[in-house]
Amino acid sequence: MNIQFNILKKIIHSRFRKQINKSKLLSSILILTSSIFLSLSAHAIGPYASRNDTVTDLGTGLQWQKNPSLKPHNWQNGLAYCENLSLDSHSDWRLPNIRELKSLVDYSRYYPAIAADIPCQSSIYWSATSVASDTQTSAWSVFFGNGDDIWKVKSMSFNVRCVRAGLLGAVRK
Amino acid sequence: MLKSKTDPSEPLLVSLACFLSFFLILYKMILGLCQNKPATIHGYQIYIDHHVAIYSLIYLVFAPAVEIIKIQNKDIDEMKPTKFRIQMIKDNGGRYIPQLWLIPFVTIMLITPPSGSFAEWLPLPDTGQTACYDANNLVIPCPSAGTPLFGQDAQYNGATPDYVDNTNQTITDLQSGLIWTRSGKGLQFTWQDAISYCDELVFANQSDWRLPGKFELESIVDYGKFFPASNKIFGCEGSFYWSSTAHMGNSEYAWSVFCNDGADHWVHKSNKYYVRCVRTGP
Repeated sequence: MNIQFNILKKIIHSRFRKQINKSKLLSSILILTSSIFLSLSAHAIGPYASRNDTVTDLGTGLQWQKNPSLKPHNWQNGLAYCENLSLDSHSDWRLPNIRELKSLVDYSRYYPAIAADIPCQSSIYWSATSVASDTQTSAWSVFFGNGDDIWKVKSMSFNVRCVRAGLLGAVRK
Repeated sequence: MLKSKTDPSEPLLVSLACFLSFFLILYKMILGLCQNKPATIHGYQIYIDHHVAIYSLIYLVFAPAVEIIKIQNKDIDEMKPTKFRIQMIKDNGGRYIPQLWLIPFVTIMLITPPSGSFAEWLPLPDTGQTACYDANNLVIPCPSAGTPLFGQDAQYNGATPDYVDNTNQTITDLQSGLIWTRSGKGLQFTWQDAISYCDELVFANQSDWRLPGKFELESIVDYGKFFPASNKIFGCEGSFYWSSTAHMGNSEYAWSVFCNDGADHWVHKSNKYYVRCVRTGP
């Protein structure tokens, strides 16, 4: 930033001494804008790029609903809630699978076990993955207090946080 | 004495081009940077070192600016030009065109669409679930869009896992780049001993084995399978496998994965469980 500041100072200084040079003015604007973008992007090189209603995980490429559903849903209604969600001018939201949901967990944190940028209750969240056994009546869910994955009977009601492909990711069959 | 007769449009154009290309490569590079994977440009896999990436980003933004200052405020003499630059200035009728070498580079960047996959977990491996289930968890034909129960795991695809059996009791996951030891020695350890076992392991001519983190250990879980809940080539000794991830809530506990159903459990570090070591390829 120091170097850029010096360059700008020099350009502005020379403008007062000499004639106003259009190209100098333009290039100084260019340098200024690029330095602003550079410093902004430096903050985004973390795991998460946050917007008003969504959070994009640059590690997985997934875009997440920032604020989960206000009221809990059972598993079937959770699927429907995400399919019908329209957020950040996108409508291709869906309920995350268990692997995607667990990619949000930060196991170095506790109650909630998730990055501080993401508003989250230390409660259970549904995934779209069913337990692959005909003797079970459950689907996979994640308890965000400590990040444990838990089988929960599908008729029970829990929180829902939707996801979309974002940068890259799952594609509908 | 050479005096620079600058054409202001030239450095400005180069500056503009650099400015534009900066945004295009930023997208590729940041993703690649985070995950240490090669970027794909026109089918060629280009491995970008952290330092190269950061310096080229800085250079693309700063270099045009520095050159503009040089040629507009100083005589060529003050720039202490190299032989090559003097020749270049002479060839261009006394004009100094900065950063000529950038033009092909910038052109390549400009015409390259942002594409390819660079990150270790980008996209995440698919869960493996292929069947659809109803609200009572009975298998049903997958519902169509707009009908109830649509939007299940099986209706969206992630990246299909790609395993190679190296036939030396190790398995390579081509997607994550991780190399796993096949389970089946029947050895069980406490958590601390499991960490040192993998650290000290010399196996398949390699010595950089380590105990996998929880996320790595779960990356081979196949949620479409049950008993065991992973591809059979990994082996499953019917119980818990240690991860190196400690449980934050209680320092006496660490995370493990039960290989038969794929679920994680936080268990006491003094318990003895199985071990699957991992190393980062190649």
